[in-house]
Amino acid sequence: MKVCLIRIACAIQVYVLSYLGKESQLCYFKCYICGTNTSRSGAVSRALFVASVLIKFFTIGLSDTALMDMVVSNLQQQRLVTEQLRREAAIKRMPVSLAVKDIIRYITEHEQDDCLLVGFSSQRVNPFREKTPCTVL
Amino acid sequence: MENEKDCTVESLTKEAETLKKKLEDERQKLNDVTLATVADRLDIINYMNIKPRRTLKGHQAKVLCSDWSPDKRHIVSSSQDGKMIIWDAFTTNKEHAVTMPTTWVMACAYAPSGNLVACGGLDNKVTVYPLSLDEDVTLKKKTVGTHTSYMSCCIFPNSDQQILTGSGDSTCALWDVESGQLLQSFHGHSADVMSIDLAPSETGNTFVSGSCDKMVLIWDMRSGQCVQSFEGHESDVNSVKFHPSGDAVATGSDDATCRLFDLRADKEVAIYNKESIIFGVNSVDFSVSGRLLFAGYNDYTVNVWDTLKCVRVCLLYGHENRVSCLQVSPDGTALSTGSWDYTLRVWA
Repeated sequence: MKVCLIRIACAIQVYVLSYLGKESQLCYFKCYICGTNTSRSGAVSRALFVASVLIKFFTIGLSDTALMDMVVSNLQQQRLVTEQLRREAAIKRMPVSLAVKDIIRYITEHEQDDCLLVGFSSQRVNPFREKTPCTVL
Repeated sequence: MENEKDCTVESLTKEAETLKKKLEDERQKLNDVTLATVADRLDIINYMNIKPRRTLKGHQAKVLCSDWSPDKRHIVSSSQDGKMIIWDAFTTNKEHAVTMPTTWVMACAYAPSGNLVACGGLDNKVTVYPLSLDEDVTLKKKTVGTHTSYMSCCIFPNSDQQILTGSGDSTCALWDVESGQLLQSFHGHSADVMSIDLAPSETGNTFVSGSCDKMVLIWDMRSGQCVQSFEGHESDVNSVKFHPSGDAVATGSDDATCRLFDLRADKEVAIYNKESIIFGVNSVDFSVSGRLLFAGYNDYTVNVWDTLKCVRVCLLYGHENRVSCLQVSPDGTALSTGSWDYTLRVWA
C-alpha cells in the first residue's frame, strides 16, 4: 500500500517535471520509480518522496524569467529538431532495387582491379610477397 | 504569453512526431527487395588467398590508429604510449618516430601529398607534423585546432590545407591548417563522435560520421548541415566508411554487427552479422571494388564479408588482442591491421 502511494507520488512528480521540461531530472525519477519495485526500506522510500516534493516546490518557486528561459530554449531546441526532420523528409529517395543495382554495377566493373579479391596473377607481382634471396651477378 | 509559447513547443513536437512517422513510412515503401536477393545471381567468392605478410613491431603499447600513405608504401601508426611511428611497409623499417606530449593518441592521418601527418587524442588538440628526413619532425609541429574533449578521428579532405576532425565533445570541425582557424563546425550528434569518412568523389564535399548515440549522419561540408541520418544500430557506432561507389556507407558497431546504409534509398540495405559473433566491431574498410568488407573485431579476428551476398567469406587470425584499426592500402594491394597486442600486420 505504502509502495503504491509512493509510486503514485512519483508519477505525479514525473508529470510535473516533464511539463516544465527538465529531462535530466525526469530520468532521475524514472530510476526511482523502477527502484520502488524492488524491496526497499520504508525509510528510503519516504526520503525519495520528500526529495521529490522538495524539488517540485523548488521549481515552482523559480522566478518567471528563469522559467521563461527554460521554455524558450526548449522551443529553440524543438524548432531545430523539427527543421532537421523537415529537411530530411524533403529529400528524394529511390527504391532499394534501383539503388543496389548501381552498387552492383560499380563492383562488377571494378572487380578485376581488386587484388585482395582476385589475387595476383603470380606471387612475384605481389609487392608484399615473402622476400626471396637475390643473387648478385 | 507563456501559454502561447507552450503551445508552439507542443505543436512543433507533434509535427516532429508526424514527420518521423512519415520518414519511416517513406523508407518502408521503397524497401521492395533485399540486397542479398538481387545479388543472388552473382558468383560466390570461394577462394581467398590473403595471408599475413609483414608484422610491424616497435610500439610499446596498444596501437590505436593507423593510416596508409598515398604512396601505398608507408604507414603511420599511433599508440597509447604517445608515440607515432612511420613505417615502410615493404621493408618493415621505421622511418620516423615522434613522441607526443600526450598518451592515447587516438587518431592519425596522412595528408594527400604524403608530406604531412596529423594526430591527436586525449590532449583535445589536432597537431600537424611536416615530415622531413633532414631534421627532427617535432621541431616544425603545429597545433591546428582544439576541441573541448578528446579527438577521436581526423582526416584531410582532398588537400593539405584543411583538416576535418571528430571529437568526444559530439561535434565535428573543419580547420584551416595554416591559420588554425575553425572554418565550419558540425553539430547534431548527442554523444561522442567516434569515426568520420569522406565521400570518395574528387569534387564531393560530404562526409559521414558515426557516434556513440547510435546514429550515422551525413554532412554537407560547405553549409555545416546534416543532410541525412541513419539509425538502426543498437550500440555505439565505432567506424564508418564510404563504399568506393560513393552511394553507400558501411558501419561497424559495438552491437557486433556491420550494416550497409544506402544513401539514395535512405535506408539500411544489408546487415552483416552471425549468431556466433558477439564482440563489437572496431573498424571497417572496403576493398577497392567494394565487393569485400573487412571488419576488425574485439575477439582478435578480422572478418571478411561479401558486401553483396551478406555472407562471411573468411576469417583472418593473427592478432593476440583486439583489432583496433584496419585499412586497405590506396591501390588495394594490401590490408593493414593494428591491434592492442602492440603490433601492426600487413596482409596481402
